[in-house]
Amino acid sequence: MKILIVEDEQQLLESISGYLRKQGFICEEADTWLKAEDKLLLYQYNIVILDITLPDGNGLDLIKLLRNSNPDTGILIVSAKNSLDDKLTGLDLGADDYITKPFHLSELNSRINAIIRRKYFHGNSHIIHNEVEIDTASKQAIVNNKPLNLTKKEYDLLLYFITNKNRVLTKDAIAEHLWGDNIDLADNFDFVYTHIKNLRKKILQEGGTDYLKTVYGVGYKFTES
Amino acid sequence: MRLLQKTNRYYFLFTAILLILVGTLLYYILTNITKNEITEKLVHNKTRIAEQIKNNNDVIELPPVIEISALELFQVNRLIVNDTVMFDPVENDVEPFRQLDAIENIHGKTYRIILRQIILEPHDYYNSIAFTIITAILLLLISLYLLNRLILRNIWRPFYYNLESIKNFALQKNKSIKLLSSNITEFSELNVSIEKLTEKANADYQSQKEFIENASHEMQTPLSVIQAKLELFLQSENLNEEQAAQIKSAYTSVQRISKLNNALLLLTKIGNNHFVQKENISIAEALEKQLLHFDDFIVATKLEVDNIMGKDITVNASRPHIEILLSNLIDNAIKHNIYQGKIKIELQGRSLVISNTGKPLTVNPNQLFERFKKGNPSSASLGLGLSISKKICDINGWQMNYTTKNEMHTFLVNFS
Repeated sequence: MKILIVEDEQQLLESISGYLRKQGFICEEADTWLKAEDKLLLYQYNIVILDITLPDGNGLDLIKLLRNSNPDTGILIVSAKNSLDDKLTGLDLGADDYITKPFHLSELNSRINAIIRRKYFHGNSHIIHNEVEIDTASKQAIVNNKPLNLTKKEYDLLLYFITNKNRVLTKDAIAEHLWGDNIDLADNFDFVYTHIKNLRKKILQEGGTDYLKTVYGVGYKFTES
Repeated sequence: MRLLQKTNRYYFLFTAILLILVGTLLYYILTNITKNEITEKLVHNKTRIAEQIKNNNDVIELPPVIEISALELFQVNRLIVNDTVMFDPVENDVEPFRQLDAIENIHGKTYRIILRQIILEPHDYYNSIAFTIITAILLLLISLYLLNRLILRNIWRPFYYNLESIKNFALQKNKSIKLLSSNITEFSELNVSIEKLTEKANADYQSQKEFIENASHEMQTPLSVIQAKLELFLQSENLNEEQAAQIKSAYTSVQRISKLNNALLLLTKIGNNHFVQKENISIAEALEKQLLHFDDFIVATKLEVDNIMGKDITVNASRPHIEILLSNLIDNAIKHNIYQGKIKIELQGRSLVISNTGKPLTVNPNQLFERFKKGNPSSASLGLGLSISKKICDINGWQMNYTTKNEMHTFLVNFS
């Protein structure tokens, strides 16, 4: 999967592409509107991550351009403004999702994976990790060919972990992923712990391996083995 | 008291005193004039009678009006005029008289001539003057009242209209004030000053708001960089536990700043009337949806949610406003609750009432809706939730208030 990252802040650009490369994506970078336009006209990308506030142009225009030339490309808008207008215009123009700065890289990755599943597998993908399998069409997790009886939150959590395999996910990022950033309940980390405990228990019950490792004081990590 | 009433009261008081003074003066002038007239008449009559006696004509005596007597002893001529009171057989009553008592020597004989003229009693003067004055005062009162109404309806109308405009003026609305012009110098000068003042206030407020907005925006990108770098740093294989924990705590702090930043942006955005698209929203439905979000927290703290959905309320508002408002209120009711506590949600008429059990308030209830006022200062909460809710209510013209009773905290939002 090839991704173009359009972001004028060099440091952020490097961080994003660094993280995504480790997840196995091929990343290209553009830090101005003109460079982004050039690349979009010359090459094809599976996903474009687009900061819409660029110093030399409005990112929304790039969406129009892209929709005409490559309608299949997935577009994820990144904006510093948590503005409903931008969000609606962006989505109207054909963007697939919208994320507000600052964001967790793991969340960005999870959103990109969701777009890929929707766009390229028509929501009908199976994510397989050893004995653990996720059927995204029926939103069902399977361990050793036996379906797990997961709650919606536990399913979301497992999907989030598997798409961010081998990555330390902080409790903050997990909480935000599960409950959104509008909920300002300060001590929601206990709830993260409860969900992880239950998820782990259910996987172990069906004879699965405990891939969920606690990274002390930081968060959790879904390990390879 | 209205200015017009106050000035009229003075006018009236002043005029009344003046009228009473005029009445008193009138009384003295009138009595004096009549007294002089009568004296003059009595003196003339005495001269005529003396003339008659001199000509040896008979003079008819008419007591008590004309009394003539010849005296035995000689006395020098004299003339005394004074007031007296005596019985008048005609009136059959004691009456006041003006009396002329004269001694005249005619043809060697001494005569005493007493002439009297009935005069008006003082209370007759009083009565008629008082009657006139009181009538004048009453007329004055009535005409002042009528004049007042006329003036209020015409001259003062722009003033009261403008006063209402000023009362309704709010910086958040970012609308210039509409004033009714008047051809009265004071009022038009006042209008000009108010317009200038409100324009200045509006401009200042806008630039302040823009500053906050821009500052918040500018902060988002560096915050993103810090957050991303820390997140990447956390992924390093060779971090020891202590290092990881330190990075994590820096990471959590960055998150906190960015949340605060977002909340501030939200506050300004609400103030900017940013969410303009309005639709009809069912409060019961929106509540149901929001409660679902909080399910985990409600279950974990074993809260008992008492959801008394009366008649549903439909509100014409922007959806983000309603969602943020309800989310904040439910969040608040959960956050400040006790283990195994209660939340009661009620729809009463046009009002939404959310109550929760909880410890007594440590801040002044009047400051509850202010920014950064937190029940527990060490809490990780931002302390902006309630002021955001209040702002949403203000912008939409809804009433929001807080009451507490028996360790139950109640927030009421009136949507009418």
